[in-house]
Amino acid sequence: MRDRAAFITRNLTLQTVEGVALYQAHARSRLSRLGDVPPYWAYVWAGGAALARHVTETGMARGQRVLDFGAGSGIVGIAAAKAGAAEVWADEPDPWARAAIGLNAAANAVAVGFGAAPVDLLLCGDVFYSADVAATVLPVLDDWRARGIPVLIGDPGRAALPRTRLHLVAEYSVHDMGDAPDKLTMTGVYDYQP
Amino acid sequence: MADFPNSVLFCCDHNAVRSPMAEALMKKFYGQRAYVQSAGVRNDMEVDGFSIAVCREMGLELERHRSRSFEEMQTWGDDLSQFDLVVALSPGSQKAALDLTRFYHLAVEYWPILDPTAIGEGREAKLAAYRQARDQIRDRMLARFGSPSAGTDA
Repeated sequence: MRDRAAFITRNLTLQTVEGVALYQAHARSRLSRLGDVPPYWAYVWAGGAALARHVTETGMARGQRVLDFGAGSGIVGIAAAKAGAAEVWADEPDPWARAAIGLNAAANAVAVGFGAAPVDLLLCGDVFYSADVAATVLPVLDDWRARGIPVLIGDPGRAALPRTRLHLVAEYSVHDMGDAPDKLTMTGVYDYQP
Repeated sequence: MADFPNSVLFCCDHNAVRSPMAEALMKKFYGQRAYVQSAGVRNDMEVDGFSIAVCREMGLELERHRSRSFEEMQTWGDDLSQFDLVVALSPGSQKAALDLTRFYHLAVEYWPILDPTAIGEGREAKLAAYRQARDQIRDRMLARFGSPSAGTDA
């Protein structure tokens, strides 16, 4: 993990996105060296950006124990922590992303933990970009929902978004990974229905 | 090769360096076996002299390539639904290719290829970076699609 952290601090740059300082890839980062798992954690996706803005603007995470599910860079959980969440946990399978989340949390002077913990709110930014990932994620979201935990999803309308299960809460115009710097994408924040 | 595609779309961020190289290499190696095109997430750069130079070293001609985005491809009538396989050479284009699966039935593969555009000071260092990107694409292509077709000079 220390090697990953060293790689990230050496090759990425801290930038502020939606009020959160994050290590972001740039043209000289050479993330192709990291192999065949796309380094999604090195970019902010529209769904995560919208959820981060939502927790910041509404203050709805204040005092809550929050799980950032499919955390990537950690932008959503960190935004929640900055907006007064009592505890923030991150669930993220990619060890590179977990290293980035640790660095990003530190850069914002907040704490983000890893592991299974009881939470009051689940935030899930942009995980419906592929059918495979959606198939893995949906049973987990169903499980949290069945236990009465509210699940909020940020998504710009990706391929595998489970539209029939969603109630639109808010919409934000945000930047999406890979797009031109001045292009914004309307992105929804949804309540996932049981 | 059992899963040799009938049609392949290579993509990267700008369709100016990596994906045009991949398109040219694929056409050289496998000729008419597959319909091959390339596109970028956006079109805000043109093929540069370094790409042209390192491709010429392998007998590939890039001068006439005109960069285009996914959106322009569709506008110009190159139907994305005709492709079996999209090969993304950058994280941004991988994400964009996955977005296309909302509308089209496409298989998407991610081949991480060095972006040489910001690497190296001076002509020789830049050429070395572009060669490295070209050779990464070549090695990956041969590993994925097998030996070049008989009858080509690759």
